[in-house]
Amino acid sequence: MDIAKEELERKIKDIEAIEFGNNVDDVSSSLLIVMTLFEVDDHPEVIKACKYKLFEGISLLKKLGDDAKAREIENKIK
Amino acid sequence: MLSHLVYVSVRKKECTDEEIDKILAACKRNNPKLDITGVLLYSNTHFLQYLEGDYKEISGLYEKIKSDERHKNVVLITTGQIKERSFPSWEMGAKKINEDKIEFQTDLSKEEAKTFQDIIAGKDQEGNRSIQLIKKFFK
Repeated sequence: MDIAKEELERKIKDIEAIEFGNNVDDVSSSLLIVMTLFEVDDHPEVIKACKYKLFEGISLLKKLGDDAKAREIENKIK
Repeated sequence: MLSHLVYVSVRKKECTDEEIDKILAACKRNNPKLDITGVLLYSNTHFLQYLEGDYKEISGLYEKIKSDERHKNVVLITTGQIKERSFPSWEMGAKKINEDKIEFQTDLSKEEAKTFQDIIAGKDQEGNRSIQLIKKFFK
């Protein structure tokens, strides 16, 4: 039983399955989830999956008109 | 193998405080049989749950939790082996987290309450990363 491998696969699957929704509150709530993992995990594949999902959320925030929040998150991942 | 597992999720609007009471009641009913302990923290918008127990049991429970309709976007934060339980007397302790303070309304020893307060106050708990996450997520 390779727990580390299972953990990695689960994390990536969980991140990829995130659906942001269509309003600023829902997008922000879900972005916090992704950001939590992004900030605490150091595996390159997890970071890559988180960044991809974060950029998806950032793009949505911009479309919804919340540029300030989008920029705040962009600055955290640069 | 004794392990821990931490996940975070988005609380759905339909999940009232009464629904959370039901979650806790189910935990108290089911977790002792599986020898699972832990703590559920929740705000108006999020859940963070810390589980301890045999790896297979908490792993199986996590998959069930993921399908619960009261939350969404469930993400595993960490899992791994532990030497001892951090919350041995909590079949599932829980607390709603506000911005300012945390009050306990669950059964636990004074020592465990102090441990938890120390965690939230930012005092290091022997480098246990998952415990650090609890305070980090809700600060």
